[in-house]
Amino acid sequence: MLRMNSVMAALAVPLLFGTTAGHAQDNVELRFFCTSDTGGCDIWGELLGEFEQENPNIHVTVDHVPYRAELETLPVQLAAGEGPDIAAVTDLAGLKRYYLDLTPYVDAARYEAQYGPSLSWLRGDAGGSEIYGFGTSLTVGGGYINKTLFEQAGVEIPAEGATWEDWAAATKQVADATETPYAMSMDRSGHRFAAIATSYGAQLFGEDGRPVVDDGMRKAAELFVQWHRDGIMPKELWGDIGGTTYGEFFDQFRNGQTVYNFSGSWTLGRMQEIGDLFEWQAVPSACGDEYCSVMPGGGAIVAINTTEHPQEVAKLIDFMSQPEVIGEVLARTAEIPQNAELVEAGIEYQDLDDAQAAGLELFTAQIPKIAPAAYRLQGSTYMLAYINAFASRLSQAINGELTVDEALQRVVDDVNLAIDSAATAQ
Amino acid sequence: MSSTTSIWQSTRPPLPNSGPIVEKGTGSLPPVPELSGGIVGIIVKALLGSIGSFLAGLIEPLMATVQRLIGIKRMPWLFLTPNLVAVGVFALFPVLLNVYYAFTGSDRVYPGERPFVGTDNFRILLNCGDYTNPSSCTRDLFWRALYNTAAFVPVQVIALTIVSLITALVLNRPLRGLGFFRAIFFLPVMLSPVVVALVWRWILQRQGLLNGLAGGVGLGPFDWLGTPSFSFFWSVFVTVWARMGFYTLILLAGLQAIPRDVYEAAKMDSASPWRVFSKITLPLLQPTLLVVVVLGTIGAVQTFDELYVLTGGGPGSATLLLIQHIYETGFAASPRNLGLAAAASLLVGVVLLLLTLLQFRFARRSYDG
Repeated sequence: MLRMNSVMAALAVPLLFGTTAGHAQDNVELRFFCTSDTGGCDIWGELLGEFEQENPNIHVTVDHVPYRAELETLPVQLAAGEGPDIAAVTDLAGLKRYYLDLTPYVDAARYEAQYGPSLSWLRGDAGGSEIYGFGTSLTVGGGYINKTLFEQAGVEIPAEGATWEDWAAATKQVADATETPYAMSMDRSGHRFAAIATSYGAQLFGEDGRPVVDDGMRKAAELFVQWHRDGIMPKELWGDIGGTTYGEFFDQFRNGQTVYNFSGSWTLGRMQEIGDLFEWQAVPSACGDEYCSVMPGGGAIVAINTTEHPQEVAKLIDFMSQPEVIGEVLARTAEIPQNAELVEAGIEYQDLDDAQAAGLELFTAQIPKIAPAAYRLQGSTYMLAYINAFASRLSQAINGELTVDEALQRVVDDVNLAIDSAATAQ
Repeated sequence: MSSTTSIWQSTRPPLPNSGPIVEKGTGSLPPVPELSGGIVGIIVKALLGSIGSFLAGLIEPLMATVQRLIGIKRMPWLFLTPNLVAVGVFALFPVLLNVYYAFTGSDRVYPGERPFVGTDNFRILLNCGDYTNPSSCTRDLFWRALYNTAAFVPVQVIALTIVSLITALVLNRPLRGLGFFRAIFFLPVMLSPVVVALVWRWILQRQGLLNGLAGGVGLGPFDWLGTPSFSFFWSVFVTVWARMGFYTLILLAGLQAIPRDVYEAAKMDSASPWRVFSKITLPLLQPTLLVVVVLGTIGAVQTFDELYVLTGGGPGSATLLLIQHIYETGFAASPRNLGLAAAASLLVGVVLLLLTLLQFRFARRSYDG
């Protein structure tokens, strides 16, 4: 018996080792480049635990990175072929060349049905039928006011349809009456400025696909620069910082330093930080001469074509794009879905207070007002080049280094240089 | 055996007082009667000597073969090879790659994917209607950054040298708690430039500490980082504050190397403190000062991280320096324009080379009297 056991053991050892080696070979490590600004990465971390339980051979590491890393670090990583396996991106078409087409691995019809518009944004100007990933949240720019300050000042909140000039005048009155340092603030991002420009009728691109300066853009820029010179907007955000640096004024809004803060729907989740310091309210898009537009935007999660595990990546993206999975993330971060099924069925947002719930409803209602030029910019390969140029050149105009006309001409030159530079490789 | 003499066998000169030379591979030890470190010391040294001798014995056949092959005159190159490889890979190759990028276009990173564009990148950078007016240049930000750097470098280096010299002179005097003060002045050098910039940003921002203090005495608030002249001043101030500790140490070492007897002779002649400083300290400190100026200039031209965090190059482009412009063009812009960034860095490299040559010439002339 002992001899028999020994023989069995001798046979079992290599078998056991062989099996273990086989498992080790199958184990797959995937990296997810996740921008952590909305707090969604922690939630993804939890949900991906379920995915790992269902797929024990796949381990997903969630890399939490700031939004700025997506703009500055990720493109360099991708160009060097050292990128992650999947990434959360907002420069949807700008990074298209690094995306992996998942069509062979996924049910393309489901993606088309549930994520049609966001798939088009990912495909860029050239179009196509590839499935690179899926759109996570739909974002729209939007304003928030400190309602308590309005009440203290006895100033009526401008109604829907009020222009940017109306808002500037009303918030200035409030700021003066309540000795608040700033009337209006706006994230330092050309994406936010584009909302004002398109509302005043800026077309942004001509028929030849090249950037253009028109009366709408000029008027928006003149107003914007003047608001900074008049102290209606804080110079330290758009004026003091140079280059393309992104900046926001949420902390100052939370501390009651500004009456109106123009940010976007993604800030709703953070509004709970205000607590009972004061009463706040999301407000409808301000209008220009042509539209009451904001910029649409949104994130997407895409597969990267340098991955060594396309099948596992497809499996992971398939899991993440399921309505119940992405739905839970958006429910907890208070964001608007891109998934058509969720749009139709609605999301049961968790732990939202009344103001947040009203804000979400209001921002969703702004979507039909978005100007066509705003959609065109969002879907352009050169969107980032355009909004970076707005940020750096308008800062120069605010500081008097350039006139408004010179600044806008520089915006056009910068975008043209980007288009020409990319064209030399094609 | 080749007729070439092996430097491992017979070109090693006998060391004075070191007893008989250890023959190759024998492992025998030289007597070390002059060493008085005790018996333990002798044993340790004997052991180390044995190990060294053993290792030398191991590589000797290889070295002898190489020497036979390349000849004794070329043997120094063999010893220089590791360093040359390191310099080649980490210094020379990136420069050559930079040259390649400067003459190629597109936003692609891999050299093979980049089309040759000739001198287009240089043409775009240098295309100006009027070189004194950056607004007339195709790449206005490059010229603004160039002019800002041309103003920043001399002001910063002069301020840095003067402040470091004054601090070193103070710290060279007999003071109570001298070690403590030396440590305090050196402390900012050990901080990350980003931390330095963030701390100063919190001090200087509109709701910052400085405006809080100013408000306490009924002044301000001032827009310290929002006015071009203020912003430039604080850029110089913060970089000097962060770096002066290092240069103070160098100057302190230079001061302590000046012979005491010269000062004693001056004291006997009743020379005034200013005369002592201008006629003894400064002339004898000149070689150290030159090192400080050269290192300070290189550091000033390379300034990036402190100002990137402190001002971001703003307001507008008032504190945008060349390195930040190159970084933004090559890495932060979308699409990234690596060709323009490489061309700009080459132009900066050429200017720095000319400046360095001028400095060397100046230094040689001053040494020659």
